[in-house]
Amino acid sequence: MVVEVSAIETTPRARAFLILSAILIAFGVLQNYEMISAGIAILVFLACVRSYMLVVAMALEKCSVEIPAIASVEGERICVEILFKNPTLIPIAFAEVSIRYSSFLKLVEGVRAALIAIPPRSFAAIRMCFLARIGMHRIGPVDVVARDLLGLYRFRKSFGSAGFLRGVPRVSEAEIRRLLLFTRSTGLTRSRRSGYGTEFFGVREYREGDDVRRIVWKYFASKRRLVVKELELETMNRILFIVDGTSEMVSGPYAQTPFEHSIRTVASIARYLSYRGDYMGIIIASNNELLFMSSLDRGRKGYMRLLETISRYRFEEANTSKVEKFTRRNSVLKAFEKALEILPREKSIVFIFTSHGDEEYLETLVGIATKLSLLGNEVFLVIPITTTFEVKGVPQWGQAIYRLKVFERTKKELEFVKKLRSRGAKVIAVGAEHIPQIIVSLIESMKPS
Amino acid sequence: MNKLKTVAAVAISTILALLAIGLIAVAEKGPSQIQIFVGASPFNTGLIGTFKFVEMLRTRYSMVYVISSLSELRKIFTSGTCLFIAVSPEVGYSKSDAETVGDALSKCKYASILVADESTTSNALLETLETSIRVNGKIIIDAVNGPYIYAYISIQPNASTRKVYYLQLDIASQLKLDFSKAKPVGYADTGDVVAAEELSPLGVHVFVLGDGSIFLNQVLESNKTVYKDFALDLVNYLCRYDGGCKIVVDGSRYPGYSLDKALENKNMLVYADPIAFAAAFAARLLHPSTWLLPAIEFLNSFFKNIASMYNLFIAILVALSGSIYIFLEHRMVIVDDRRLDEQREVEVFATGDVREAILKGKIKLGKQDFLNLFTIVNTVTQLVYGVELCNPRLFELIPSREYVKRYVNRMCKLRKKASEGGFLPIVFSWSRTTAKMVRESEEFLSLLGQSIAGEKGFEYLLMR
Repeated sequence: MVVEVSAIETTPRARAFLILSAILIAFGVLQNYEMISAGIAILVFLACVRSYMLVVAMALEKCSVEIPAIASVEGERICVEILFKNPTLIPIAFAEVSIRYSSFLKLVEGVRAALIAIPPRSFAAIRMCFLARIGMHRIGPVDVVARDLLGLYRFRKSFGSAGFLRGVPRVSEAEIRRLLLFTRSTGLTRSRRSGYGTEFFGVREYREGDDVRRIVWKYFASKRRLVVKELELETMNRILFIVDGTSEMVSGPYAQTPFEHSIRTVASIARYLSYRGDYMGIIIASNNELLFMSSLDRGRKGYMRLLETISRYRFEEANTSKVEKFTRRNSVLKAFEKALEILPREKSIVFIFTSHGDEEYLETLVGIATKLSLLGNEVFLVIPITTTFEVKGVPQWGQAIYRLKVFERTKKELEFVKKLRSRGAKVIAVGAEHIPQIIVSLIESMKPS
Repeated sequence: MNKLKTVAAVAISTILALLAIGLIAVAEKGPSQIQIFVGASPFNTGLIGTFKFVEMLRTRYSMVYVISSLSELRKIFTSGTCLFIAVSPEVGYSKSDAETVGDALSKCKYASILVADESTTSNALLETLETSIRVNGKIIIDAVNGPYIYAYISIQPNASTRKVYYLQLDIASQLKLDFSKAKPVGYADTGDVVAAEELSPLGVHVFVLGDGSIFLNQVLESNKTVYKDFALDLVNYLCRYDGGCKIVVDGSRYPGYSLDKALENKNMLVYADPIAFAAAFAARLLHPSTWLLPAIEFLNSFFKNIASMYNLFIAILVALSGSIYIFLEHRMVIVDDRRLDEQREVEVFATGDVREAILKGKIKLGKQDFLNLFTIVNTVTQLVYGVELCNPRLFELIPSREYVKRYVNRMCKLRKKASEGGFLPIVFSWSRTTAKMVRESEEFLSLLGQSIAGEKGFEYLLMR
């Protein structure tokens, strides 16, 4: 490993030594020759320290940093151990490290920066615990600065490798059970009536007009009676969730953003659907990418695929990316195009989770909802009211003032919901206090009896 | 495209240090001993040198050597055809010198000597070679031309013909010879023998010319080509027409003068090349021994003197220190040594400014906030009871409590003043009033099962 000598940086402390040396040499030249020796001695000392630093730099170049990739459920305290491995025989005495991670992660235990010593042929470890959050969050790179004993020289290196913390939404069993109560009469449950579907319901006598392909020939062979197979009427057993993951949806307190709330709702419903064996799918539209399940899937497999898609959502890039690949409108339109690819011909329920926007965005949403409805789908727009999310964390006495100050914004958001409703869209305005079953009940209440 | 980086293989400081060491070493060694050759020396490029003669020979023969010591002959004359040339030597040949020449020539298959001399300096050489020819040393003087006599010289430029040259000589000497052994080949107009040849008992073909001026630079550079032709034909003849002949022009018989000595002699410019003089003088001036010591002494005395001048001393000290510092520092990358930035955690809010102001306690309420409060309470009342807040029917629908009436009346009055204007007390603050009404509104809304300060605020009602 070759270390460029110029990579060794000189600190202002070494500058002081240099100035002293220059003065001594100059004074020696002008007045007393013996002082030249003192000046040169300082220079030799600096050269020695620099050489030591070069050796340390070479050792640091050979070091490696290991950051594990961990998956977790949101809200859990998840710990990561970052290892600094020194394979050389040279000890690194003073290494200042600063560990970078997604600015949207919360460190609950451990340190972000430390002064460590890495013994030769050994390793040092830094333990960091985060409060897990939905999506994919970067941990790394790690910046390391090694210094000599007097801090005259330093060498900086950035270990670019990064690990990822992947968070999936938390879904409680209690919520699922409550969901069952709320959804008995919605399209989310089975009808227990015969009709068009794929699940076997029973057999009955053949009637005129029945499709001959449905005749059970084995039964006819044994009993000499014509019976037909009846299938269970499937009501709404294909559900697609389109979640807006653009920057407008990810503002709010830690783990309480409209996006995360929406994802939590989606996960709860999806878990319930997985028990029922219903088909489900998800599309997440962010400013930079489109995450989706390539097809609807059911059961536990479908649920796991849905969670995997959610855990790939890059939270940080949605918020801090300097160049947005897509505008919000384009993102949602792309999600719509993807939905057309994924959705089957049969009737499906489509949930679109997005927050309020301008007139153009409203038109886009109405257009998408109309087109999907015309294809025989039932479309629900779930609009989180952002102020109800952002009020969280404000002290009680301040919440009233907050509501007064942001009343205009709240009005505007509610106005957006009203406009959507007036355009014929089925819209549910939700707040941070709305738990998933409430949202489902709201949907239920909109269903004509 | 990446820019190419210039990398110094050797540091400038190293080069400077080596240069300083080199200068001191060269100065210590002393000034250069440049020799200035005078007379008919083959090293003399001046008028009376024979440098041009050597150059001319080199155009025809591949092996032409100029020696500065006779000991070199042993390495040159080893076999084949050899020719030793001595033109007006200024330092006499000792017996051992002559023997050295003789021994060297004896190794050659065919050996010849050309002696062109108007003085008796080369006689020792002729004597050692056991020839009968001697240079008399008496200058031939013609009544008409004085010492610049004309002479006929006959040589055999090629194997079949013989050619006679009629040349003007410059201060030529008579030759003495034994006519039974030697053969005269050149006569002056006065009848004196000026050129003769003889095959010595040692087997060396000896050709003696009583004048060396024919081979001088000034003669060969003159317009008269006869001298060039004669010189080349003579060498060709003595080399037995052999192109591979090894020719040695003796440069060891001329004293070299040091620059100091040469400068003492005013006639030296005539005898030596002025350009050689100038080059030697320049080399002397550039040599560190000339200027380094005086320069150091000057600096030494200068620093001693300035030590007494305080202000100047300080100024020079600062300037020198600065220069040394810049020199030492310019290769280093000096950076601010601060601690590494720590990762910052952020939370993004659409209404971040309002949140921050509330959390810092820097929020102020105004008239607009009161109007917002009124709108909120009025909307909630309408949604719950179907009547506006300021409608008297409200009191029929809600439990008739005194403080409720007071609150409603106050809210309605303030709304009117806020929207339509009107008399307000001198000491009136919308901020204080709104804050007070917020508290009262919370109490009122709680009667309606709603809240403005709770986790689940009034907006959930509006969402339906």
